[in-house]
This record gives sequence, C-alpha cells and structure tokens, in this order.
Amino acid sequence: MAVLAVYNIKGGVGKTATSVNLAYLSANGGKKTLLCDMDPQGSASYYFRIKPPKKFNAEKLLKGGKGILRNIRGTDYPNLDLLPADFTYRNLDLALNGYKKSDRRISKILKPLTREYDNVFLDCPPNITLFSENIFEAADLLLIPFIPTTLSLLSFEKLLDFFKQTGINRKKLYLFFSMVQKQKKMHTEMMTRFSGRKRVLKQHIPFLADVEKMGIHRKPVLESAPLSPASKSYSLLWREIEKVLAKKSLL
Amino acid sequence: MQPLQHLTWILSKNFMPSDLERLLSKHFTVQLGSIKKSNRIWYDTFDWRLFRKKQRLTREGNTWLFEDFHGRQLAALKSQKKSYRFSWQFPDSPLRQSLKKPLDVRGILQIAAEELESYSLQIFNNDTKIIALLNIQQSTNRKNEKQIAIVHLEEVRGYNKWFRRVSRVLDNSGAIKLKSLADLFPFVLEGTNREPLDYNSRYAVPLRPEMTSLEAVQQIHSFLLTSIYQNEEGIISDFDSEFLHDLRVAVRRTRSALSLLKGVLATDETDRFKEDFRFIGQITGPVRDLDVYLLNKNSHMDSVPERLQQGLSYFFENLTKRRKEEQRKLVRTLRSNRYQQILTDWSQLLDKENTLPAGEKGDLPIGVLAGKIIHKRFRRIIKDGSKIHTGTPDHELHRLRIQCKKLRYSLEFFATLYEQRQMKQFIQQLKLLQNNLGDFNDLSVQQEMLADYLSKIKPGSRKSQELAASIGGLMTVLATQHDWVRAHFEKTFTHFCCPKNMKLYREIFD
Repeated sequence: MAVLAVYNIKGGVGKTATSVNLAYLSANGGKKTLLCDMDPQGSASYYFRIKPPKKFNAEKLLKGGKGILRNIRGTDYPNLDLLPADFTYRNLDLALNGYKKSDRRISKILKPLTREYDNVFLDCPPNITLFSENIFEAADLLLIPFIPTTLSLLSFEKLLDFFKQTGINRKKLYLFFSMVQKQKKMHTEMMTRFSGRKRVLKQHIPFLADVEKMGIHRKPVLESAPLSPASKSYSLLWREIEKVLAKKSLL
Repeated sequence: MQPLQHLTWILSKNFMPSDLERLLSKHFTVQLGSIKKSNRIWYDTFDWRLFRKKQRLTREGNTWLFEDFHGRQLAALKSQKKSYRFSWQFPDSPLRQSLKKPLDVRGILQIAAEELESYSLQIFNNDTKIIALLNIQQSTNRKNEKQIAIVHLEEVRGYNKWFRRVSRVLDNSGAIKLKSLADLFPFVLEGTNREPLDYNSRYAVPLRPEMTSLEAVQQIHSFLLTSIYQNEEGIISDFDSEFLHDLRVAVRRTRSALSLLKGVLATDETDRFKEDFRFIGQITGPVRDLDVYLLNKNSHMDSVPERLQQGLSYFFENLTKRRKEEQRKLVRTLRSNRYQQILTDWSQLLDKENTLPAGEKGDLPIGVLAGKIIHKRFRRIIKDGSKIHTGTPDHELHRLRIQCKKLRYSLEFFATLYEQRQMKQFIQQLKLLQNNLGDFNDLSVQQEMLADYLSKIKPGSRKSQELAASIGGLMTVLATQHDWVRAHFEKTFTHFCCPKNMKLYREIFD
C-alpha cells in the first residue's frame, strides 16, 4: 500500500493531469486505487464528472472515519474511486489549527483508507501551508511535476529548505519534468542540468494538446486518446514510479 | 467500507435485451455496449461438493471464477491452461487456496456448458457520469438450445440511490429477481443427465417402524445398488479415487445388511449374494489399498528425514506403476460377465415388481427387528472391549473393529427410526472409538505391506539401498504411531463406556 501525493508550490504545472492519469494507470493495472481531490478548485473531480456531495466539506474531511467513506464515489473505471473536493477546502488550514498534532491530522484520516485501497493518490493544492505539511507527512512518495524553468527551480529550492527546516524525510521527494517544450532552449538546458540526479525521474511529460483537452473530454487522456504520445508518456512515467514503489517495498 | 451491492434478474420470456434498453431509456440516459460472445463451462465434483457449500465454479474463456450463491466473487484466475482436475493442479493462487478444502481429493467435472452473448449497459446522470452498470447475458444451453436472459445490476460507489431506482424499474418490468445462483442450475443442467445433489455418498434411506423388515431391506439394498451403479463410470475412467471408495462403501454396506438382517431375505439368496459381494469387495481391494498410500504420499514423505525422501520417492513411483496395472485389471473385472451378472441378478431381485423371497423374519416390523439387532451388536462390543488389556494380542482389537463397524452400519441403517439428535450424538461417540481402532488397523496393514515390499527388493544397486533404507525409516515411524494408537485404546474405550454414553444409549433404544 502506498500514499502518493502530487504536489508543487506553483500552480499550473500539471498536477491534476498527473494525478488523474497516474491513478487511472494504477487502477487499470489491477490495483484498488483512490484519488483524493484535495484542491478546492475540484479539477480532478470535474475530470471524472463527479460533483461534491452536498453534505461534504472540509470539516467532514478532517473529522475522518465513516464520513469520508460515505463520500467516496466510484468513477467510470474499474478499481478507481474518487474522494471529491469541496470548495470549503480553501479554509482547511484554519480548520486544521483546531486539532491536536495538527501536522499529522491527514495521516490519521488516511489510515483507514489505506486498508481499503492499494494506492491512494492525493491531488494537492499549490502553496506551502499547514495543510501541505500534513500531506508531506502522510505521503510515502511526493511526486513533484516540474516545468523546467528558472522560476520552478527557485520554488523547488524553497521546498527543499522547508523540508530541511521541518525535518521531513527528503527521500520521499521525486521530481519529474512536466509540460516540457523541447523547442524551448531553456527547457532543454534545465533538463540537462538535472538529468542523472538522484530522485529525478527519467520520464518527462511533454506539453501536449491532448492533455489540455482533458477539460473538454472530461476523461483521463488514457481513455480519450489511448494511443497518443501523452498516454505513452504517462504510462512510462507510471512504470518508472512503480519501480520506485517496488524498491521501497510499497507495492 | 460497505461492500457494493449487486442484484440479478431473469428476464421474462420474449423480453429481449433490446426491450430492456428501450424500457430503461424511458427513465435514464443509457448506452448499450458492444456484444461479446463466449462459452461458459460449469464445474463441480461428482458429489456436488461446491453446490453443497453454496458455491459455483465456472470458466469463461481463460477466466476461472469462483463465487458464492449470492454472486460474490470468492476467487478468480486467468490461466491459459483450460483443464484442471484437482485443486493442487491449479497454479498457486487464491483460487487454488479456496478450492483446496471443499474439493479435497475429488476432481472437478464439467457439469454443464452454455453459450453466452453479453452486453454491458451503462446508465448515466446529467453529467454523463456512469451511476449504475448493467450486464446482460443471453445464455443458450448447449444441449437443448434453450435460451434464458439474465441481467446483472452493479452499484457504483456513492450512487446507491440510483442503484435502488434502477432495480425498482427492473422489478416492475416483470423480470424475476434471482435469490440465489442455485436457481440457475436447473436451466443449465437441462438436457444433461445430472441434477443438483443427485449423488451423495452419505447413506440416507428413511424407514418407518411399522414397515415389514422385507420392505425395509428392499429399500436399503436398492439405494445401495444405485450407489454402486452411479460410481462405475468414474472408476472405469479413473477420474478420481473417490468413485472406487464410494462403490466399496456401498458394497460393504450391502454385505453388512445381508448378514445383520439375516433371516429377512430367504437364506439361499442371502448366502449367494453374500458370497457375490464378497467377491466385488475383493476385486476392488488392491487399487483402493494403493490409493490410500498414494493419497497420503505427502504426509509419508514428510514423516521421514530428508535424506530418506529420495528412496521413498522410488517407492511411490513403484506404487504408481503397480496401481496402473491393478486399475487395468479392475476395469477388466468390472466388464467381466461374472461382475455384470451379479448386479443384473441382484437388481432383478430387488425390482419393485417382484416380491422378494422372504425368510422367517421377513414379516417382522422393522422397528422391532432393528432394536434387537442394535442391542446385540452393542452388548457384544461392551463384552469384547472390556476384555482387552495391554497384553491382549492385536487380532482381538481387529475383531473389535469389525464389531464396531457392524454396530455403526446398523445404527446408520436404522437411524431414521430413532430420535435424530441423540442418534447423531451416539454415532459421534462410536466414531471416536472407531477412529482409534481404524487407525490401529491401517497402521498394521501398512506395516505388513511395507515388510512384504521390503522382502521383495532385489539387493545390489544403489537405488535399492536407498529404497530399503527409506522403507525402514517409514516402518519406524509407523511402528511408533502404531504403539501410540494402541496405548490410547483403553482411554478411548473407557470413554465410550462412560455412564453418560450408557445413559444416552438407554434413552435412545430402551
């Protein structure tokens, strides 16, 4: 069993597309998979055409237990369930403050879910907040989609600093390049600088129209365009991640 | 987390899958998937071990599916190989694990085959999100071309309200909700010569106390004869070891009934068939003896040290070879005139049209005769058993074993004449004693057989050295067990004669 969080301080780096497609691949490989949409914008839920249930909100989430189980929805795909996001998640930080051991609340909530599922994916909102800290604690693997630009590098270094300060295990971090445009010189240069480093995954996800079109089809790209280069990149990326999971005996 | 619900309906006649789509599209947005054709084979053991446990094993293409009668999946396996007979032949998998206990040493037979045309039907909400899944299966019985359409509704997590709405529509369509998968068996089995639970190795002939003994005897023997006939085919094809075992049990019961109920049937007939069934018992003996060894191969192997195991495997190779020869001989005898004639004559005699030639006790009500027989057997066991002490020679124990067997058979024959619950309890107590004596006997027979085997090994080669050593090892193990079982006899017998059991006996039979 593994908890995989897809996270970046920056927005618009392809977190949701990654979570949706990797969760789909995990389920398709026969693993019981849950995708938790943690982003108040609810994009992952939108891609699966799932509306947040009326009585579900941030408070319910943090309370944990049956309230969460009751709000899980089956997607259109075998083995893949989703915990929809609610707009009240924007206040999660405030709500978290009321709990003891507030940096471990999400770990605690996820515990019963890990008994039901083989893989739990967390699609995280951007920012470093108390909530993000919770996710760093809860995750076995922290996947960072990274657009190869200087600004991204800056934010990544900030994240590393944060890990150092809070003493969270940095070995959870795995970085991969996302929205890569090979025609841009900066992208290729950045990628060469990073290539071969520890915990930088080899497979990257190119900037492709098929991925952007997920908003129109409202399906994982592996369903709407299974033979596309985008689907192929995600499949290869997932295969690489599975190897990491196997190495960490999390399969 | 709540398990997902699912329900199954049988569509009413003339209601085609396309009608179902039309009906549902009045209430929901639906989409019919493409058609998938396949064959599905149903499996069970000859004596319905899976059906009895309310379980079903099927194979569709290369997918094996093991479910309970509620349709809950217990195990599944994808395998290129299409035929397996014994649980241990399946690849190591949850399926093999789940089949191991219920099948035990029995093989699985193809009991039915159907052709399937499957469609999926998805039901959407306004966001075109799937909120319920239907699977429609049109099944054609391969034997008689009859058709049946089955609809399976699956809940999608979090959309229980929709699940309930769809199931209401199906309920109102005239489709019949399937309570158990057992209800589908009559359909697939139509045209085959089987029906669920048509064979059971357990003895079950209901008697009434006022019946004449002759009537009772006829019913008992007819039941046993059917059992003999039912098992012949499986012995000849050598499908699994239990056909022969069950036939032998039926033969032994027949012989017991003949001698226990002496005087009911005319003496001439009794004597003739006693001899005849003794013959059948004899000719079926050698294969069964070898089976008992071979079925326990693993535990025998484990009982000797590792360095002796190679030698022991030669021994089992020899036994396998010998069994092949004995099996061939057995089949020849089963096809012989003598065997065939015995059963033909016996079945003609038992034919309902005829009146059986009665002996002097033929008219006695069975309720009276049964009590006498049981008393006699029981007294004999108490008398003989009490005489046995540590110095008593082994053959006395063997004799007691036979006595117990006789009592056991009489209790089984006449069980329906007495109070059921107490009877069961008493048989249970007798069984404990029988187990002890049975183990003792098996161990004696096995040791003799090994000694005999050992005396025939030609010395000289390395192989025969290893073989002899391993036989020696096994004999030592068996001798230890033999002593242990013998030492336990006294305790077991004392328990059998305890005041509580005596009281139980009096309550049932006095």
